[in-house]
Amino acid sequence: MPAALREGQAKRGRAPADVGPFRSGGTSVLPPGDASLGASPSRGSEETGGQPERSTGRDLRLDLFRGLALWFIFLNHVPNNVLNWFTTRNFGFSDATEIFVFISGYTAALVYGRQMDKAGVIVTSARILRRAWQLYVAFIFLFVVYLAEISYVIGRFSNPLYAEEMGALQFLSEPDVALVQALLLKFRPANMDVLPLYIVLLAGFPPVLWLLKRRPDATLALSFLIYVCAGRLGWNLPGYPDDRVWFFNPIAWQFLFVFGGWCGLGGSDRLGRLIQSRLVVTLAAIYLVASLVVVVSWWWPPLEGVVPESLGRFIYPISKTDLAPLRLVHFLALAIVVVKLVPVNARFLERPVLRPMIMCGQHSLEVFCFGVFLSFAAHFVLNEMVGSLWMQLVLSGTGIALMVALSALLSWYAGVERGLAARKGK
Amino acid sequence: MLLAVALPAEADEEPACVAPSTLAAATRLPRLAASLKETAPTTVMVLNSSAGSAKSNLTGEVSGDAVPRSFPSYVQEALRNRYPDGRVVVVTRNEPRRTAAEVIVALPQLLAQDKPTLMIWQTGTHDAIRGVSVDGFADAVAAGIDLAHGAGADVIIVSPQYSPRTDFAFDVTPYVATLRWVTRSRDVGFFDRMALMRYWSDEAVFDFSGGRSNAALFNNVHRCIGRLLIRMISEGVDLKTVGSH
Repeated sequence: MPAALREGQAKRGRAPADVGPFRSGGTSVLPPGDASLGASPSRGSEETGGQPERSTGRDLRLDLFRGLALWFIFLNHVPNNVLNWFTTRNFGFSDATEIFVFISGYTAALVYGRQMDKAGVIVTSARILRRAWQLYVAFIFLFVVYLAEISYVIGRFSNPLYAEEMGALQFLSEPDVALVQALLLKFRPANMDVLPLYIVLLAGFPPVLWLLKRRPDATLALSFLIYVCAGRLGWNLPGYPDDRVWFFNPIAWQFLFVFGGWCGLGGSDRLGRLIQSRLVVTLAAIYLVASLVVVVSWWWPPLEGVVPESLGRFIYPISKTDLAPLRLVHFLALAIVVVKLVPVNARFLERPVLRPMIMCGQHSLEVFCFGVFLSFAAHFVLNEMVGSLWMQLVLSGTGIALMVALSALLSWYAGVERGLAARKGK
Repeated sequence: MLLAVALPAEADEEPACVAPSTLAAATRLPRLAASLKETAPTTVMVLNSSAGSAKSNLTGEVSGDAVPRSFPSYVQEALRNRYPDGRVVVVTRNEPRRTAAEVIVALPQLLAQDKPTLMIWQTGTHDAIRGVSVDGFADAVAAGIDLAHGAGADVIIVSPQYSPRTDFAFDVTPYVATLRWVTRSRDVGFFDRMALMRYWSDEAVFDFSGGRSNAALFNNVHRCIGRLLIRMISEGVDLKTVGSH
């Protein structure tokens, strides 16, 4: 994808190291309060890649688009939000989840791959698992917030119109089961589905990374094979309650993560000529336009009938659970076109306007979790206080502002810790 | 939305059942039209996997003064007024807490028993609650439509209701989208109850976020749904006539 990455890194000698507190290079994502992480600058977390990135800078496009994906995911997670209409899912087969998973795989491989070279397989694997553990704890925290909202709704709300819907929330009548299922990642509220997916992908990442570094192409092929099997044979992990399965099937979605990792470890450079070729870019653009027409025709009456029924019948349903090939291809096409339109050294990437989005992308996991929390809060306000259009806009804007504020805080904190560590080192 | 609280509170006042026509666009109902034309006994079967009806006491609390009337009873009332000879009957088959896949297991027997010429099927809520895969849901709904067609019944699919209080816990939107394309690709009617209720909510016709038990709201919503369904059915029957000329 970002094919010119290596080239970009070379050029990035002039990495914007001094854009105030919002430096783009190698900002450390420290879990709040985890001083042990900050104490040693060489021990970066997933996002940082430790020291080297700070000097070489990183592909700002990764952060930019991951930040954008996080904003979209937040907006999509506020139910019935008018701004839902402006996110990618209404304009093509794929949505922000693909962007998030791919870029996460890319950066994870980039960062941990380097660490594996320097610190060894065992230490790096331990760091990856620690990261997964942190996410697991975040998941449980969010789950508690979710339970609080459900309990509130059950306690306050008894409208006969919604007898069935409310009945579905009664799983709390057996908290022993519900809580244990949540701890096992089997019970995943709708908004939090991406998080368990990410936890599982990360927890399984050490051996994958090891393989990717030795036999990248074979690993990718194996991952693809598993993806195909998941789609064909219906492999998925069990869920709760009843016969639920995982909404984001990790067995299918791992391919996008591994593909991201493969690109991050140099695969995209090897693909460089192919994905920059005029033919491929044109085909990708055509595919994007075609999917735009198909998707828009489903919700915009003037376009109704433009897409022949037979084609529609062939195309739909597009499985999000199993990452349907049409979605995957749509994401790849989108990536190809974006890489073409936004070269790695594009000037505008360093404009201050984009800084907030880039910052969010650099602290993606914290910002993601915070976004889930904010979406619960927004849902609560919209239902309990004011649900007007105006309020939707205010809450969406406030939510994004808070996400940016959190990422700025994390950047600042990381900078302070780094400074302290550097002084200690001298 | 706060403003809306005052409006529907007036119990039993006739609600204005306005709706954009796209949300309940009529499709041809040839089997029903033929049956009505032949003045044959005609059965409309309402297949309701949701607890829209007061009969399915899921939580056991349909607290309130009057027993709430659900939309099938309004459909029945309208049809009885139009065909007073009693040859058009509405039967409601509640399959509470059933996913579409579970409903179609029981469907052949229901179809054989009731011999409907129109099946109105509301589905999706339980699939969303149980997190059934959207593909499986699509297959089940398509199979149900085929079964009904095979048994000589036209089909109108009704989407789950809009539920602003619970949509953070389970999101019906993907299931509604699935219903939209299944119905479109099979050329059967789609009554988008969710979009309709959302429209009412946005337009402050009804307020669905009220915490109190509100039997009037239940009745008014179901009355409107029943009315719009009847409009959709009669337009669908007329479409046939127009088409055959």
